[in-house]
Amino acid sequence: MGPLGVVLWTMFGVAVGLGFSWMPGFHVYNVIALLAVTGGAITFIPQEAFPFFVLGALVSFAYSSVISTVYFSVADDTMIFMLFPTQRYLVTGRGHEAVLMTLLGALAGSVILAASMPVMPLILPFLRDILNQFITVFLSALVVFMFMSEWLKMGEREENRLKRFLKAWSQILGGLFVFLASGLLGFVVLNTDLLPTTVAYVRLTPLFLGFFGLPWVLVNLLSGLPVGEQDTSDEVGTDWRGLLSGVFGGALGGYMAAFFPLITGGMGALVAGHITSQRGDDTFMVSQGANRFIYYVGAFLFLFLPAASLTRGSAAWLVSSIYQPKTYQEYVYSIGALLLASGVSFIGTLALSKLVARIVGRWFKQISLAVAALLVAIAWALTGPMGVAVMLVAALIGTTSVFFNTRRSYCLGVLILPVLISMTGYTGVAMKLLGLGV
Amino acid sequence: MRGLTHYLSGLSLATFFKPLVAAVAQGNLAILVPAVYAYLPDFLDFKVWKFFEKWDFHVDPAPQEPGLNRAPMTVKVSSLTPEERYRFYRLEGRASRIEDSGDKLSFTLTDDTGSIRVEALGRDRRDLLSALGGLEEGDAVAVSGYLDYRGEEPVFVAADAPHPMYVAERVAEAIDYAYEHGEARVKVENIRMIGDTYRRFLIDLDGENRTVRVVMGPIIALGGMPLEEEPVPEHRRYAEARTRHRFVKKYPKPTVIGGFSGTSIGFRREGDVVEEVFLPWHREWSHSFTVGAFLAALLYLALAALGSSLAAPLALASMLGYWAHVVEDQLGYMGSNLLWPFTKKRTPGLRLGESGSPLLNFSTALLMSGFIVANLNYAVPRPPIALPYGELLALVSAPSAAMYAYAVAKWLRQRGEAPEEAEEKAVEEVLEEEEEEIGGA
Amino acid sequence: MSAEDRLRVLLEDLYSRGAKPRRKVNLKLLAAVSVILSVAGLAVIVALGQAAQAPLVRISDVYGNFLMNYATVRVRGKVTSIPYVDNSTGRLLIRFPVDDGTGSMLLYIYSPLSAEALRRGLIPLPGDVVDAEVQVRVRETFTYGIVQALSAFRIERVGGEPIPVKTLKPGMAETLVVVEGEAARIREVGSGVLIDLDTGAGTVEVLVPKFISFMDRRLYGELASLQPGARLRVTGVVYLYKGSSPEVVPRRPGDVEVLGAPRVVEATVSQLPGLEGERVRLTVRFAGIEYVKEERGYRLLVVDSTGRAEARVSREVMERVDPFDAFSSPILVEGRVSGGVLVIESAKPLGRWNGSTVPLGEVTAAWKGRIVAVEGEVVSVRSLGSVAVATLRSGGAELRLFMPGSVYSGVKDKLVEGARVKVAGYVDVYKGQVEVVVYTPLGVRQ
Repeated sequence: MGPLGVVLWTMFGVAVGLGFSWMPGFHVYNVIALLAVTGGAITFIPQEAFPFFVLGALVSFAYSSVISTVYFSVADDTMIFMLFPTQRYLVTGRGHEAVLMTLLGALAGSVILAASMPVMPLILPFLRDILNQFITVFLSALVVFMFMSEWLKMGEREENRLKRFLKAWSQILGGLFVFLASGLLGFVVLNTDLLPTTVAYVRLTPLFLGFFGLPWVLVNLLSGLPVGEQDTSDEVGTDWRGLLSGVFGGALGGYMAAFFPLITGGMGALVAGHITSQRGDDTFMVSQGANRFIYYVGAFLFLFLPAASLTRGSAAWLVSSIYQPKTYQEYVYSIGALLLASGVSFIGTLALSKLVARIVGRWFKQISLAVAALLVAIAWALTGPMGVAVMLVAALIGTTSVFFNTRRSYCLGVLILPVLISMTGYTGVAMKLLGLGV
Repeated sequence: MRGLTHYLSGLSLATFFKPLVAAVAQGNLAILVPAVYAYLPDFLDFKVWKFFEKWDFHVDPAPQEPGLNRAPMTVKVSSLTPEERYRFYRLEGRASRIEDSGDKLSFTLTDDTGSIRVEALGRDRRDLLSALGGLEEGDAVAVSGYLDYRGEEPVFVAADAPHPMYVAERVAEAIDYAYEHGEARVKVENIRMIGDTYRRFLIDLDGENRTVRVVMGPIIALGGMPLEEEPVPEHRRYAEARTRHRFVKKYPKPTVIGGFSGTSIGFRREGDVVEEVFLPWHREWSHSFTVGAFLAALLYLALAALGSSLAAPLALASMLGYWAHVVEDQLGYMGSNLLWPFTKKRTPGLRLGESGSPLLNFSTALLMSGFIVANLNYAVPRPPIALPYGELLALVSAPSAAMYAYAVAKWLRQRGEAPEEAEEKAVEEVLEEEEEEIGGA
Repeated sequence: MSAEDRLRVLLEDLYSRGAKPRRKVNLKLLAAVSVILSVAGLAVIVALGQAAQAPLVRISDVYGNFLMNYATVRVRGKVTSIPYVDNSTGRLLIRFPVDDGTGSMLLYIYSPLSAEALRRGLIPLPGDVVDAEVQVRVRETFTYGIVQALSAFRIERVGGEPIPVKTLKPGMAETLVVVEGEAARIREVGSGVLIDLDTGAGTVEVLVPKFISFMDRRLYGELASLQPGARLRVTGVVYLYKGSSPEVVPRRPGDVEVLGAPRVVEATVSQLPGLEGERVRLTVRFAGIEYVKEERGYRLLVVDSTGRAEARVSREVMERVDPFDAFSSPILVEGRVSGGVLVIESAKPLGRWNGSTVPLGEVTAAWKGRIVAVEGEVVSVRSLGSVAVATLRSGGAELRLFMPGSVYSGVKDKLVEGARVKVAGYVDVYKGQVEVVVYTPLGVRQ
């Protein structure tokens, strides 16, 4: 395939990504999966162009998904639930600024990623060989740390000491419940034929839509606070220090998440935020941008590294089952495609953000409902009625995390717990315990 | 230092113990215990001890409405007793006998428990009228404000904040209490209002004049951004209360209470004066070598009783992890109570950099990760990095060594730093520690 | 919402008309309800899951089907080759192919299940039928399955009483046999220890697979260093190596019994003619050494104070005899008398080299066939591909060295022009010229 083909298919991926991934809870993996399941894409895209198509889609996803993060997640009117930095910006009419700041982070992330690709083959294989057999340790270490470092937000005003303690700890216990419950759900879905094994690749989709998409709709519908007028001028309130600190921390977290299987961008960000001692909303948003970009795109780019044999992330697994890039030429193309897609996505997302900023205040509830309907439709299309049932249970668990004021990322127990069980050799025991046969 | 840096240090130290690394191959995750131990001092402080702190004075200038988690709380007229003076509340009732002078609006508010005269001055009058869209005799209204007295007569002053005197009087009282009883702990709650907004206020302790000053600041968003430009009206912006006894405050900046949570202040009598102890529940017993040794001994006994072959290395690694936390914190300003209960006070830190310093955190985390990589490299049957152990250790520590050297050079230059400045940094350090998880979702 | 909007909301909360009841959120209730509903939902999912166990699939339906990536399914098929076990990365792995008639697929067992499988002897052999719950991984070029739980990993072994056999025929493939005999040749190969068992009626190949070493390291080591002549009884499955050469593969350590070391007679050279067919041990010196290409071995004479006798020794055995030691000390040899010739199976000099050498000028045709040690400076070295020659000089005398290419590649860095070296080997006369044949890399020292 020549450079023209690379450009063409990358841009096609970008278009698909921009078109879908601004919707809340709608992951680009789902888009690719949907295209794959409905059969169309796989047949009309040439096999060796497929990695570039996915690369384009992933890049634009890393950019445009910030729109749903910023505009479509508001808590209830009394704000019993703590606001995330992006939400704080939104309710003060600075949603577009938050988008822009995250995009700047993503742009910096793409430059860092492109620049670091040539040195990656020198370091990564060593690290992989050393750390591979200790993945269980790192994964469990991170889970333990997440629970231990939970910032207790409640309980300051209870009348006596024991009540204060219990109230505060209900948050940790709630988090534990969410982790275990989502883990249990994941275990059942992954180890049975509940969702048809013939579409195993998309079995996680209804789960993720349930955990991260639907609770958002639920909370929005509880909400009474209007999202007001948004300022859409392209200005950001930050300084170089905040920007650099954010980019550096974000990139670090992104690499970590990209390199270690199962560790997601959010968890990588938590780790990197600690290591580089970040503070401030602006820094946080910039780092989120860089982090997500490197996490999603970097993980996928490992696939292009000749002889590195690192398949990380759902998209990479899908692509590697269709076509595995093999040459250094493809590797060089991938860096070019990355930069191209990055520039186009930056501009596209900015325009999209302005558009959304204009309509979001007026149509908030309607958009929420429409998205909810869309999520249900996707789950149904991919995995049938049982997928919708599984999605609803996942949504309940996701909502629980909101009510306990605890980290939403505990829902990732859906993957982490089954994998930990499998890696420590307890799958058989757990199956017996749950009465799942064998 | 930040939580993860400590945690990583514990994990890193554990990888120096071959039996613990070997156990991983058998699916045994005991190697995580030292990491947990290394994080434990902060965990004990922030997740446990903080909630069990005994307060002698609980100062809540703006109680929250249960179920709404925001101030002001709606109360009945009859509950406004003299002790409630200056606190921020909300009343609901009917308005009568309305008098409006253009500058001052007053009316009687009556609910099913009684009546009280309400006054709204200047800006508060304007706000009230604009929010209500005018006021007519017999209207049912809700009004926020605080109780005050005109001579003997109780008055409810319409306001969007409590009066600062509430805090000033209680803090002054606490200082005298500490003088008389040796020690006092004060918990000052923050003021949280609707829409995740906060009313910022400052407490300034002026030992020279035996005065506690409190200033009401603007309404802010959680991140600290002010939402209003107009200052708080004169009559309820500022308050001061005098103490009977002498006190000193080494840290010159006022204590700011904003978003997130309130603060806890300790006062301790030293000789003839009362001294301020910042965040008295933090970095005390938990951050001591003695407690680390004790907890490690408990671990050893428990494991030995269970017949674990890893009892000795695990307990040893865990103790080192715990101690590493104490040592790492000692690099900063505030320091810790190193040998509790034998020592009574925190030993000031080395001041190499604030514990939240990105440089110190990053270089330490990098060093610890390097150790982990180096140690695990030799746990693989054919080590992927074919360097002698010593050389590999030197290689992975080099970048961090350079960064430490930079920090030390900076420290040498700044050694003459004024003591107040150091004290200030010490306070900022622990404040930051308290807010460390805020970004993470 | 702008700051002003927000302040307006705030003001409306502070001052409002009427006792407008605010919608209170009872967080406790919401939390409790969400937990209860989650638990109820999970219970339903688990119950549904119990009725939807992993389905049995055909390998052809799974292979290369990327939509089934990560699917947990059951496969059932016949194992087609000996499981491969590897621990080089520190993560113990077992891998073997199964074939269900529609296609073949590799199954992997990873640590810690792999260690448990070895401990419990749950290793299938060719011909066994395996029924396993696996997670499918689909890659562009191949598809494999990862075994999820040992409780969902069943092996239907090739059954019945083992049939005693004395020779193997390809037709016996995938049957259980038992064979007894004397180990004639033992060597380690990639897949395990290969033993030629002399049953009296012929030779039967036994492959002790490498995975046995993970079950019983001591036994495996003992088999790898087994002395020829030891008697073994092996129960195992007949596997066709490369589809045509049958070999017996034991399943677990208990399937290999070492019935005892061979009886060895202590002898002198003069007694050898009376010990036909016996295993003997004796102390000798070597003489008349010459290489016979067709036999890939040496013919030589063994000499002691009672006389001399003809002997044969293979290249592998000879290569392990240090010529320096053999130059100054007698050699303890063990072997079997066959057709009046001593077939040496092991040889070990009794003492270490005392450091003495023969001056170059004194190495003459009279030494032919005997081992010497010499010392000198390397004047020239020439590699001719499969062989190499060098010239040694000392005290005005020169001597030619000859060595096979395999030996030369092992001593290349010592044998360089200008270097002073010590060399040992046996003396030969080639086209009238005396030369020392360095038959082993042990024969060059610095």
